[in-house]
Amino acid sequence: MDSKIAKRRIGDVIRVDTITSSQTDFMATHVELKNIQLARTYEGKAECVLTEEEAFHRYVLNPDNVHQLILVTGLSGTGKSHLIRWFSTRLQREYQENEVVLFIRRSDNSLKGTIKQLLALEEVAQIPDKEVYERLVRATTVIDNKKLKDMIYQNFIVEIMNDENDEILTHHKKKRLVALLRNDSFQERLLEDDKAIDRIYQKVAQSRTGDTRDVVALFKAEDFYIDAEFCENMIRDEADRNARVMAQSLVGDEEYAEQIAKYMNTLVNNVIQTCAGLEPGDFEQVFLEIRKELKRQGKSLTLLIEDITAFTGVNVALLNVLSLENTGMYGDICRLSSIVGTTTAYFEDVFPANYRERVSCYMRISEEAFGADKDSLCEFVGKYLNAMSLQTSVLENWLDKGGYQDDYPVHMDVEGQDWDRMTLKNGKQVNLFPFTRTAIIKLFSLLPERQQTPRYLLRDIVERGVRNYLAGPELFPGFTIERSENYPWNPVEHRGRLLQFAKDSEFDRMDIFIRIWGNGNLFSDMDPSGKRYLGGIPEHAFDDFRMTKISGIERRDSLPETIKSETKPLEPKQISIEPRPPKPEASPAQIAFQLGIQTIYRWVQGGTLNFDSTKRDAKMMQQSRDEMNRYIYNAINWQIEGISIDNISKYTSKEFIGFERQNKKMDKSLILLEANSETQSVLEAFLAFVTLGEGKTWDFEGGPWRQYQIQLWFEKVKPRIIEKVRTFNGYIVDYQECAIAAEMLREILAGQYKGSTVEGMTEKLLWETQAQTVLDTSSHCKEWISLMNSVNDTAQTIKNTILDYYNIVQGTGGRNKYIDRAHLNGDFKKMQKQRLCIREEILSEKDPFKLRQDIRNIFRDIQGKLQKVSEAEVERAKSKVEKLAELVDYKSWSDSDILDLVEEIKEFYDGANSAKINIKYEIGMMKEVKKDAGSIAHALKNVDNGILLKDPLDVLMAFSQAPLAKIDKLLLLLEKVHKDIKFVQGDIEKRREKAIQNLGGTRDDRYDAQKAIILKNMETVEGWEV
Amino acid sequence: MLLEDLRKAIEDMEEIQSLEQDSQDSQRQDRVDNLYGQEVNDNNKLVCNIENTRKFVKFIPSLALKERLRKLLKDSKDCMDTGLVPESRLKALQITTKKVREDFEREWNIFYKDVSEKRLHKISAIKEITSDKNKTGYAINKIRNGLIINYENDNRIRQLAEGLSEADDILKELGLDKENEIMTFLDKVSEGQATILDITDSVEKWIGENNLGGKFLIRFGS
Repeated sequence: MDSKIAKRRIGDVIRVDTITSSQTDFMATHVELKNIQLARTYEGKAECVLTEEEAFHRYVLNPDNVHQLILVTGLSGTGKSHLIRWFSTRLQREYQENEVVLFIRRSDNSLKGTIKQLLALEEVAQIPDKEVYERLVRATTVIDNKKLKDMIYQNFIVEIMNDENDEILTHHKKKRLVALLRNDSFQERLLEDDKAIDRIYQKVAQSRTGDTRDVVALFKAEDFYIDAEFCENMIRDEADRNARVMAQSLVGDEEYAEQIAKYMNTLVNNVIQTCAGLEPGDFEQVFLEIRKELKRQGKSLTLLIEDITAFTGVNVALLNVLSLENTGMYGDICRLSSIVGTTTAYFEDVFPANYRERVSCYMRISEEAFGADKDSLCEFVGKYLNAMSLQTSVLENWLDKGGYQDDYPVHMDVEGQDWDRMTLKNGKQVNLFPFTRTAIIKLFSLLPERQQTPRYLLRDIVERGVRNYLAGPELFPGFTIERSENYPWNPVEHRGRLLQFAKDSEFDRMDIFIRIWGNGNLFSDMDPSGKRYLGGIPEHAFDDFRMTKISGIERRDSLPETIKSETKPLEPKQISIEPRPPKPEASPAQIAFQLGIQTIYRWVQGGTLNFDSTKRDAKMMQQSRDEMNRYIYNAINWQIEGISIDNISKYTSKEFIGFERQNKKMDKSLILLEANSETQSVLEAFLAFVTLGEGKTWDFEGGPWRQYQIQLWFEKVKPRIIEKVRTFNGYIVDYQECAIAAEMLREILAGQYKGSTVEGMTEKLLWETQAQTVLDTSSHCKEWISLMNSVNDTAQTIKNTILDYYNIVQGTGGRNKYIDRAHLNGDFKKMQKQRLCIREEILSEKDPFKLRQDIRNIFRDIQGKLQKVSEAEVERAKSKVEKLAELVDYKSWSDSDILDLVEEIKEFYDGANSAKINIKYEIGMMKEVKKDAGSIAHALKNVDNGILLKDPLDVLMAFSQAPLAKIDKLLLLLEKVHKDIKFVQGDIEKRREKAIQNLGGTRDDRYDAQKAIILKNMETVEGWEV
Repeated sequence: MLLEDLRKAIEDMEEIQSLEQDSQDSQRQDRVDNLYGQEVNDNNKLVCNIENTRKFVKFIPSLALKERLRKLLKDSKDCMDTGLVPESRLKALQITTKKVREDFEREWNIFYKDVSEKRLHKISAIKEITSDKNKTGYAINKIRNGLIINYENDNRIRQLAEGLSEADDILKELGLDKENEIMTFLDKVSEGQATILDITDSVEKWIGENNLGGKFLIRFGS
């Protein structure tokens, strides 16, 4: 390479559009096209396979001088334009006096452009009405893009409105279609770039540049796909009714959309013709005249058209003129030989079927033809590299002298001396620097299948590579090479060696260089001439690119695969259709592994480590990390380490490991691994397990070593992990203590524990008591009931937590639970000693394991409410005993006092019954009180004592057995009696007044008379002697 | 306090029941009162009657009678204690009164018999020989009427007392008040037991003096 010249020339030489490159560059870079399939019909089998020379001589030169229409077909970028141009160039050189050759470039591809060129031929200077035709093509005004697009759009509407053919769409449907097309929103959609109107516009407009290949100027069904949201917007915007109906009918109906597109395509030609401002008839007329003129001059016409797609709209007219033979009544027109390039897509979608028979033959350029021959590939690249290192004048000189291959100029090497070369057929050698044969083949194979064409080879490999080199040899190869992981290190360990010896800043490009330019290893070899190679690359190459010298690894075998400094000269051989070269030999696992270690490397260098389940590399990282976590979980014997299985099972995510600069949240992980070489080795080891071992086995090359690395690393991190599970924020995990305390409090609140001291509680209650308790709402204050209800919801969870925490899992577990009694007792006693309390400052620390924290929250909630509950209960008690004290002097009451009271109450009610006073005799209440006399008396004592307590826990225990409920029974009865007494008193008073009233006075003097008589008689009798 | 209120209520209820019972039976009570008043009056009459018998004929009630009367009066006084005389007690009173009256009447009968029977025999026996037979007859009637107690007034008692006094006068007039042999003879004659042997000299003399020979019959005895 001569980089000085190349810097200037690269832009001129590398033109992906072959037509825009200069003739000299075109010829200097031309590589013979060999695999041209010749067929008589489009679908037919190839009759033969020709080289370009053969095709030129047999067909293009038209030795038989017959009318012919040859179509050159192939996918975009396969070289159709190049071939046609080459035909044109050759024709120009093979000068034939009576042959007029006209080459229509793509940029000239329009009716007007074609006619212009035709009219410009000196042979047609004298055709009649030439001025008329010239005026015609000049008459076209240049319309601006937007206006032209609008014109195209509106012309479609006009065509529909004037279309009387109802075969595809009925009149009503056309009416609605017009309404829809007139809708602003829909119009905006269709006018967007790359939509149908834009595609048609591109064919009509003359000034468009850019890659418009393979764009078919037709409507597609997708142009008429409408969703419900669009319909709703139309309703909202009060669109025309017909437009809405049309839109609605298109929603979800792909078939109908297809039908509409098909209909619209029938109008495309007319619209284009209208917008182009030229009638097909005009074109035919001009062409006819030209051919007549040429005939008069005794000349024939060879027309080469690069791309027929630009004739959209008038393709029928064009085909008419091209297929018109100079026989019969057209004997007055010249012989025409047309070679027309067309893409496969256009031919299949647009080329009228009835014209296909008029095609004389098809020259097919298969996409597989390019690249099948490795030598051609290298020749292609070599010629471009050569051309860009040559001054234009040198090439022009060569071309002027005939442009013969034997005289083909080769540049003087400034860079890349003693580099890989390609020997041409003429024996000359072109330097492949900065590429190698191996690199070219590998880089080409890494292109996506549909892009393995000359165009992409030039753009994505040659141009990028050369520009990269020209930016500085110390940067090469630094251009993006997609899918390079398909060429992994083999053996993988050599990568580690490179990591060890290469500078960090150089590693990436050396890694690529060795894998793509070389063999993907660091074996040191020597060829018979004594030249040393590293990984199949000459050692000097590393110097050429300013790479660090690395000592290779010796191996016993002689050089198995070396890069030869010369390639064999091209030998003529039977041309045949060769299959595309096989894909790289590395297995998918190796490729995946390579990709993974690249990813890890980039992370260690300062990048982000992505975990994702969608992208391939991120998914692998995720799998590797998951394997690490799984390994850690299974490798630690938790119970031996003093960690309950329940504890570790509450760490649901099991994300023990996090990584510095990872894309996902890091707060879930227990420990964070730094981006260093140790982490890199371990992560690579798990990556190897996931890829090379398929996630199942370590039985792959290097597997045992990687296992060993993992074990060493594991022993280092294990204590950290265990500590993170055992503790949090400097505190030892305490959720089990919270559970114990919560359960004990529940038992007190529920009245299941009947004692009066915490010390009296036993651990057996933890599993012997029922989880669910329903309290009578009268038994306690509402705060107590409310707390009890909320505790009920979590009671079973708490119990389960306790049993699970202290359960010693044996084997695979089972239904039975084996409680670590000593541990349980220890914690139980601890909570007793702490009086079921845990300091708030400890509880306020958040346990990172959510399930553990849930248990702590449950307890914290309970603990937080105890003070309030106890105060409320005491208040309630005070209120009750105050009421009681207003009624009776209950202090020092025993059960017999209560029984006596009940008896008196009974007597009261009996009396009331007897006195027929209307008060309800609550015999049930009395029976209750009588039955519970003993417990009521006991409750009274307890309540009196309980009111005086201050500690919430003591209060709870004092009121645990619901003494207030017992007192309530008594109080209710007494309150009723009190009320009834009042009623009775009132009643009696009224009745007394009435009774006296009825009696008519006081009783005092009622019997005065009788009394006097009796007294007198008594006196008389007393005086008797007997 | 509740207990006290309770007990008071119980008492009040009992009282009101009682009061109401009384109040609801006010007419009945009036009737009872009337009966009671009547009873008291009757007792009064009884007492007055006994007092009259004592006064006029020297009746002496027995101790038992006195005791019963005393109790009767106490009971009737006690009836008033509750303010209203209960009917039940009235009834009891009535029964007692009836018994006391019967007792009195029984004792009176005995007493009457004792004081009147002989006299009646005697004067009935000598009625024919008395100077004023009508007077003797009147006396005999008076004495006989005195047997039936008239609680409404004291007429019969008075007349009894008069009759007895007149009978004694008649006998005295005949000199029979002291001559026991003659009264004995006359008693026997009135009993139908006198024989010729009982005619003593005094008897014979008396008969002769009073010219009563024709007043006596002689008949064969069994």
